Amino acid sequence: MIFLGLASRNVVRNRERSLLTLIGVLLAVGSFVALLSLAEGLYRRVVNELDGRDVHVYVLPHTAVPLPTGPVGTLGLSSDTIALSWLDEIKKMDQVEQVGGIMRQSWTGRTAVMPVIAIDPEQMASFMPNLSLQGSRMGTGQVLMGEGLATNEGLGQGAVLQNGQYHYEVAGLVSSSTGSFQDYFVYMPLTTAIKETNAQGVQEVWVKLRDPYSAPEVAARINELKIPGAHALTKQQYMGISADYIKYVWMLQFCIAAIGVLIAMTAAMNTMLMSTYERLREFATLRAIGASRMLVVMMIMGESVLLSLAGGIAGIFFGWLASYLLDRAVLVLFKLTFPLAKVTPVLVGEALLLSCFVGMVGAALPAIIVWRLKIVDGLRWD
Amino acid sequence: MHVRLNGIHKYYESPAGPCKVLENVTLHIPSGAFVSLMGPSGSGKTTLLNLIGCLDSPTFGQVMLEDRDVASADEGTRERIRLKHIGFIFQNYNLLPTLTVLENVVLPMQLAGLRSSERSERAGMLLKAVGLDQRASQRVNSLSGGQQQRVAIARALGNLPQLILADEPSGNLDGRSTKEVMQVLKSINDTQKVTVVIVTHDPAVAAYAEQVYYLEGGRLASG
Repeated sequence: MIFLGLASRNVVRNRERSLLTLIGVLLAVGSFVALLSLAEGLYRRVVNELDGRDVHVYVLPHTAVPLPTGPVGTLGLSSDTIALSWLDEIKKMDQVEQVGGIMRQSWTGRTAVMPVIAIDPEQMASFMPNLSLQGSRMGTGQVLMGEGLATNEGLGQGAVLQNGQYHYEVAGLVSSSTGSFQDYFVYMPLTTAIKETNAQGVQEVWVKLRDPYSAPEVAARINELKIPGAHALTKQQYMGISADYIKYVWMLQFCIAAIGVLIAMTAAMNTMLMSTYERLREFATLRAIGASRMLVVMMIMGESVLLSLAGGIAGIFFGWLASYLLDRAVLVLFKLTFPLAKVTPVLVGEALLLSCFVGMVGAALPAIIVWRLKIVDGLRWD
Repeated sequence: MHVRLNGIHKYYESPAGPCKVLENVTLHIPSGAFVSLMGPSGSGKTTLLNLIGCLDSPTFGQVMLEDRDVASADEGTRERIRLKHIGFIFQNYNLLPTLTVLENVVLPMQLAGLRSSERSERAGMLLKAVGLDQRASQRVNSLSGGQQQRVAIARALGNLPQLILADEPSGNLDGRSTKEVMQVLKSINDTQKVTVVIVTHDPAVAAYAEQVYYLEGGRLASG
């Protein structure tokens, strides 16, 4: 590991130049972490919510985007409905244990828009077993609130929520152990929602199966029913479409972050090029006293990667702070009730890999120059 | 280590066409000899030294080190020969400024894979031999030119080479430092029977050699 020792000495040789490069990488990695923490947080919360539900088949209108109630409450929601009579048809099918209708609304809260899920109170524990309830189950004129939302709104059990002309008593608070969107919803009885909106049906149908592995078969049979304007998706299909949707958010944010990363790469390459040209005689001397070409190239690579990695580690902390600020900004701008950004271990790992990549790209051209350097030319270099 | 050059030609490509640097140089340096190469600037002295030191390859001819033609050897072999059998001393010392005196001396031994204890022991002995054992932990930049050149000599001896190649070792030194450096080299040649080849302009330096060769216009003028 001689090359690492030599590389680390060279990193601190020109402190000002190294510091500037480090700052460049810090900003690039920081913006990468901050921006992608939104997509990462969104994805984790969506996955946690879907995993927390005991729903194996979803029936929803063709016009609806399969996104689990978030990220902004009713995004992807269609005004088309599925007639309640179809729920009975589905219930008759083999392997079907429970069928429930779902309605979604969004209410205006004190601080933000509150996403609402209307569900049969009798089925809530069965479809969402990951939720723990503090207080009593909801009855007519009552709602449950996610603990996160209640905290944001400054409400608790027994408080009164108002939506237009209707008033609801908060019967209890629910919380999930998985950090999903479920902590930021209002839950109301399905019958109340249908009655208040004069709906002709429900916006989603959730199906729980005795054998989860029979989901593709049950979904196919539901599709054979040819429910007007609706189709059935297995949980995996639903999750896949959600993930694809989030991937586009990720790609958009990645493209923005990539601009910073490209600038950092150029800065790293510029630093390494200057540093290499200044030290060609040293490299030639190393070769003359017996160092292999590979060792000298590894030294340059090591130097650049060490510098970028240091910038990357600092960038992760910077990105974590920036992510918090960005999250607050998004919450205020879009009137969301729940925190979206999440700096996950996966994102930290990606940021570290990105730092190494920036360092390696930055050292690529200098490494080629040194690889091709003739020792006698290097020894004459001034 | 004995050195034999057979019909060495060296041309460099230039925009005006091939530029002749060495022409038909044939030379034998016996093992343990102290040889000096003299000649005017541009006569090809350094090029000849670089060819002997496996730093460059001739256009034609053979460079035999211990009866092995290193001119036709692959780069890996030439690297190993430079590392284990040849010690280089340069006019500008060419020490690594980020390292201390001791670290500079130890570097070739590290490259050769010597154990840490062996490296420390050998580096200590070498620094004592060149009178710099008290300066081991200092940065090389803080030393005088003569002292830096002595560090370079200690570094060149790190892997117990059989051949020392010195390119104008006193070129940047004053008279006193030149004398010190040359006495160290002479002493190494006498006691360890290491072959020493020096390129110099200075007749006083050349006088330390048993044999002086003159180059003129890329040809060996006399020996």
